[in-house]
Amino acid sequence: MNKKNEEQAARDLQRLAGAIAGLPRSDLPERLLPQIMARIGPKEPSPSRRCWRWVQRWLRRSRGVAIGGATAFAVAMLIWSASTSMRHTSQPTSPTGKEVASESTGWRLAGSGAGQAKEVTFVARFPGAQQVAVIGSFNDWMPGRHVMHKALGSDVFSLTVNLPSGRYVYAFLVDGTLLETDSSALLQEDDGFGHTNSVLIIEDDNGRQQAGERHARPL
Amino acid sequence: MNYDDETQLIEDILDGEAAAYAVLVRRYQSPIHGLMSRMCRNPEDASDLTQEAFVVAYEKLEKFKVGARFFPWLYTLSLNIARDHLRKQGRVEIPASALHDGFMENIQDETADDALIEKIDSEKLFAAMDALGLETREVLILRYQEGLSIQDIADALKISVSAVKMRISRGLERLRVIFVDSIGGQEA
Repeated sequence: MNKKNEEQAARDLQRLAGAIAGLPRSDLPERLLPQIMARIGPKEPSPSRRCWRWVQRWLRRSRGVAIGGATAFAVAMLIWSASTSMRHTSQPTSPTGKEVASESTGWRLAGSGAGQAKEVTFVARFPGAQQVAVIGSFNDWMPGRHVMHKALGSDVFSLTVNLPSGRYVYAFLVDGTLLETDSSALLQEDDGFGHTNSVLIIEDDNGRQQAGERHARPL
Repeated sequence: MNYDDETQLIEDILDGEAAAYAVLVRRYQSPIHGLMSRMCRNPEDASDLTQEAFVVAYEKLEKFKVGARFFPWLYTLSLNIARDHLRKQGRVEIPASALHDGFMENIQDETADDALIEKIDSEKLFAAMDALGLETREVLILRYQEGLSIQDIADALKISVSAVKMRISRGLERLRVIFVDSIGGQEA
């Protein structure tokens, strides 16, 4: 093969690689994500894992205290052994009537075991955001009441609250300025002032709700 | 693919935040569904197998080494599920094979210029890649369509890095031979 042909062959290989990259992808089934999420339930962390995570969080908060990994492990083991030596269980009962929203952003319901109140977990991903709050009719639209927790090293924000059954409208307030709807919500409604709010309905029947439509928010 | 937040996501899931798993599902449903579609050639089966793969991955998440790349692990698991499905159906995986008669019929007989490969339709390319055998096809898809690193492909397919490089090189060359040399555009 002469030099010209070698160059042509190299170009051909590059173009083939490009052609593979451009191959059409299979069409995703419309309701794949909600169907998957409907089949899974929250995991129950082991006592040792809970202790370890508690210690990790404590270490992150205790900035003034220099403590090594080995010490942290020892603390975790002490707490774990103390917790397992107790006869009574301090573990929360597994939630029943779990409901996962149609999308990852949005909310998850679980029976709290306390009357008609339901545990609702809002989960949202806002790349680059520093602070996200859930504001809505359940907190008089006050940004400071339900500030979401940002997972360390990620742009996923989550917050779990207990809400009585009822109908609520809400939105995400990103960095105190940007109002974002939760497009995973089953319903959206105009607030009459040019904004759209998301609607959350918590029913009495163990928190069961219909899975919603897919939404376009990138994750 | 973005792996920056996966360790934290998986930690959150293991801590009981099931909703966080949806982030991973959304991120990887397309490549996994693509794999299942290529494996079973049936939209309904592909959908069911994709669901199955994600549910099984969730159930086995405690076995996943937190800090490692999630997608290669998920892909390996998915591939095994697809293979089990084919085995149960009495079907075999796609072996490397010769192209069927008439494959070249609609490819224009012209000299190999830069535009020739761009004229190849996707069906022809898929068929030619199938002829390379499952593992070579998957290596090429993972590398060029999914943009995985050589190391991640090696992890996903449980083969060595050098084997991945060799399959990429040989696979592309075989495709070039199929689409260019076979037409007679290249001089010997």
